[in-house]
Amino acid sequence: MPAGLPYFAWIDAGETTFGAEHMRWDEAVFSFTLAQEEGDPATLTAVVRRPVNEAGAMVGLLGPGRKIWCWFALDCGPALVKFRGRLVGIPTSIFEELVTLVFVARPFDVVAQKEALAETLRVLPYYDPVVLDKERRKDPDVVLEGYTKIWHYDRETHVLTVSDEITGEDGLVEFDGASETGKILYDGLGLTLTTGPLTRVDVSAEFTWTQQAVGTVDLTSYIIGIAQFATEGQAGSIASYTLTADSWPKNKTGIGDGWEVAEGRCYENYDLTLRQWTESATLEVETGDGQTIQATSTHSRNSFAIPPGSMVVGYDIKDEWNVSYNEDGDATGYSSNFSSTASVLPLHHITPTLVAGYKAERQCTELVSFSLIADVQPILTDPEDGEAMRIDDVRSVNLTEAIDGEAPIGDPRRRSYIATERGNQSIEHLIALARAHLMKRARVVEIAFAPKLARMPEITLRKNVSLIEPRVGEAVGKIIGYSIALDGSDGRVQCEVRIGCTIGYGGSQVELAGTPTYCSIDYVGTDYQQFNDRVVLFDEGDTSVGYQPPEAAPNDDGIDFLSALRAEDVIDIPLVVENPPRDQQSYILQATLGHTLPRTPAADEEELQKYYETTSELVGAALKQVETKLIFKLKSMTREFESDYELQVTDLKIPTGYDLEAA
Amino acid sequence: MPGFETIVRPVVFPNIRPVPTRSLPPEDDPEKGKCTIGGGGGGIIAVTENKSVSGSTHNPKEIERTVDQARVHQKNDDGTINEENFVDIEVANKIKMKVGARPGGGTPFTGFNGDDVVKTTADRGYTGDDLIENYRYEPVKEKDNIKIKKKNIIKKAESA
Repeated sequence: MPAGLPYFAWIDAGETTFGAEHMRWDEAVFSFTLAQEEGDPATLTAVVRRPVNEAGAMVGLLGPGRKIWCWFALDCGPALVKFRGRLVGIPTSIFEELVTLVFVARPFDVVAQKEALAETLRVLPYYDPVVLDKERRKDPDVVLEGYTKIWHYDRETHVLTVSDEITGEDGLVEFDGASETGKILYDGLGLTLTTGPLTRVDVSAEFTWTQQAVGTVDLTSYIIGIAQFATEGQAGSIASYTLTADSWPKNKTGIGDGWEVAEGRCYENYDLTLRQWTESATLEVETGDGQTIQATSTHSRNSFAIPPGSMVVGYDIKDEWNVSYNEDGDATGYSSNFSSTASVLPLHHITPTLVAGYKAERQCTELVSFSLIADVQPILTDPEDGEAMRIDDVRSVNLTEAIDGEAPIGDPRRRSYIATERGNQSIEHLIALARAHLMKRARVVEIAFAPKLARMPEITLRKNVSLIEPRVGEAVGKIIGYSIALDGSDGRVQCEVRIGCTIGYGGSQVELAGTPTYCSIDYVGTDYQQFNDRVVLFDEGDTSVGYQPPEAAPNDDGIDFLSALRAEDVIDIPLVVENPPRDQQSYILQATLGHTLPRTPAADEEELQKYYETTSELVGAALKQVETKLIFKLKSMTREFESDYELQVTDLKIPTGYDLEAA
Repeated sequence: MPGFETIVRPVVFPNIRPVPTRSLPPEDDPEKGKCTIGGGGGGIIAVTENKSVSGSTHNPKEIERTVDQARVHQKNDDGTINEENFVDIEVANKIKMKVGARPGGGTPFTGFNGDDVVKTTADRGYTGDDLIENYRYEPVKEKDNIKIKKKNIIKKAESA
């Protein structure tokens, strides 16, 4: 059949394969335009003679039972350009002789196809669920955010794929400008600069997780080590006039932010229980005149094991004796009474145990920022005027929460996320985001040309075009649109192909092993140690950009929950001892200076009792002023930390689709 | 294309990101979270000591004695007995003493001249706090110049 002849066949939806039987003329096509733009399904706009039935009466195009699918084909000589589509919308000019029908090559199951395809694209680093809201992770359109790809609808099979916007997957269509088929028509050539290139993308993102850990730290040695010295206590003990074993914190007592006593024990080195001791005896008392008197003696004591360093703050002694005589001057009786009362302020020597338990819930954030600069040819005379874009809304979900059954942070005790392997993938995703923007915006040069009809069957939106033409020179670009049109009024077939060409300088980044900071790579592998000047490509299959994986440098309080914690690791403010016994003693002596009994022994019990009461009050008031206190601060288990990371990223190498400097 | 199909270019909406879960970290308050171990425990403990000694002498009172009456004649240097010259004497062979209150647990008094004390409860014994003790002595014996006139004469003290 002659080139340029169109076929039009109404078909059932199930006729998905074009056959010779479809090369027919169910409608008389007066003119048509077959076009497809990047990201859209192909459309066919056909102007046909208004359909009539066998009786010659007009028929409704959208009437029940009417077929709405069509196969359209255009004979281009060597091959056909085929299109399968379904009728959409309401035909225009329906009462005229000619009606316009619009068909679209969009599958019915586009949603299902897109979701299925998106599922295969949810691959790190191009897709990172941690920076997506949970509700939006299943959105298929979101999946392309990190790719330089766009949806592609096959105009015949209606299979949905994605196609790279820089490099087509289905090969290169060459127009070499020399061969007969490699030449393009003189008319229809155009070159436009769609916009200035994006030269830089500034990315800042935050990754947040709740650092969680539970454990204990034995503070006993730490506390005793300082307090024993400060209080001049016995070995392994603390001494104080006020700090008693009973006042030592008990289990479950809060001792800091996120801290409580896991094990608190304390005992007094000396038993301060008052004990009664009584002894009776019979003895002979010499009266001095050669006689002896049989006497009974009773000795009682109410006392306790008085610890060394205790203070006697009040004392009274009463010592009386009497001998009675008869008329003859002989001694007939003897009595003596000795009593003493001492007010003792015991120095408590306590031996404590304190194991602190922690439950960490610390909000950690890592702020990652970098600038990715595109290695592109300047459009403006001053490259500084190039456009820059800022992506600063990227933030993660809580990385402690599981995604698909696994928490991105892995071990929630970690201090850093981005320094982990998974964290590196999140960095790579950020680079992918910036890269996608720069790559798309680097497609500045748009060239439209008119190939010969015979080449049109080769054209799809999944291919690149290599164009050599004297007026534009050499250009390589992705096909971003095409159209074939026939105007029935003149019978001319007009073809147009548009390509988008990037204006980079080409080249590629190379991976650098860097200098290991600890030992040779052979010895422990690349994952064990940190490197200087290391460059890792952001994706194994892509050499456009690389970065230096950051070393963990958390701006936190230094607690590493992954290792066994010692007291030194968790002390924020070191232990100080306020009012050790020496200070207490001085204060008490000063407070009780001059406070004595009016006479010794006391005149009566009432005077003595009053003396004891006032002594007790004075000492008690003084002790309140100088209570021994052990003060320290443990590192907070609920603090929030924020660490900044400035990433080192290489320039983005962009293919040279068109050399503006040579044009 | 002016049609009714949806434009299917990927559109990334700004609300695809998770909502911020945090605000700026607050400044750490150095005073917050401090642990203070202290206590107003302890206090004065009174230690007391008492010692008392008491005693009294014991003066036993004689309340009754039993005597033997005897006549002792002069014995000359040549061993002869002068019947004209004699003296009558009473020799106690038993003395009953009221000792008075006894110190509890004490050692019993010893008797006169080192004689053992034989306690008796024959007719009175302990009465109230009084203790009656009998002291027995060797009775007088007849000799050539000593004649016993009467034995076991009981004499009571006036105040007994």
